[in-house]
Amino acid sequence: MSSLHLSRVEGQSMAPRLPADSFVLVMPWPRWLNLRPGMLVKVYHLRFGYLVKRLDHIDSLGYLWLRGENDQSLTMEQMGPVERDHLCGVVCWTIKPD
Amino acid sequence: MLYQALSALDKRIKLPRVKAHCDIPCKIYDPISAQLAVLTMIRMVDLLEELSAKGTLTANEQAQFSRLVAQKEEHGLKVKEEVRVIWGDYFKQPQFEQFPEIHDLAHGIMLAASAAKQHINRDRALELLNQVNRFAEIFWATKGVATYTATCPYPPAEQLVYPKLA
Repeated sequence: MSSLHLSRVEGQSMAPRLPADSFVLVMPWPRWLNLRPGMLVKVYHLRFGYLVKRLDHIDSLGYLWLRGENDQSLTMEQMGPVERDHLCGVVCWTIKPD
Repeated sequence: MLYQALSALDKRIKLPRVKAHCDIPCKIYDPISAQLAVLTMIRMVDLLEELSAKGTLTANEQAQFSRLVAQKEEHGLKVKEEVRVIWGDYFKQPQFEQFPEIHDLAHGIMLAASAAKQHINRDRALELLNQVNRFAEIFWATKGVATYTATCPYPPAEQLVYPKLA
């Protein structure tokens, strides 16, 4: 599991909630803590690398399904299911550009 | 204030990046890939017809025949994929309003590509080329780029729509 860390956001798919160049503080999220739809999460996606997205739902097999904040985002279907093990953490604080 | 401090920190230690990117926002679209794929299909048809004219084929020629058919099929799929991506990702409301025919044209290309895949028939492949050329013309027009038509300088030496970029 990764530790508490800062990351810088690239891209506009999470705007306006998270504009490009925002900073996010990512908190590790142990398995015993529940994830809730709507949470901002950082995941490692096998095809797209490190992504910050909103958690849409968790399916019956425990896979995470993610979505962006606007229609420019990769769609949930394009991203596909993400393994829970690939969750890097939950965004607990955001700092947007001034 | 805090943002500026973090930006300064980021410059010094380069914080990890996390992508919130769009559907690969490269904005690189060009119908030339579809056009070249159709030319390949036409070329495959020409080569297949040359082989067919021989009557009986040796084992090597039969293998070559299979390869040519496979390539024709593959490039038929490529035409469809390239056109679908441009139509689906690049074209938006302003372009639709400018060229309302684009929906019918894109659908026509899907059908024509299937027909060209299903047969070893030059006319069907040429019909596909006409439609893909029209698609290219419209694509460049939406970008304000004039086009011209010229014979491609390699087999199958068919007419292709090119952008006037200079």
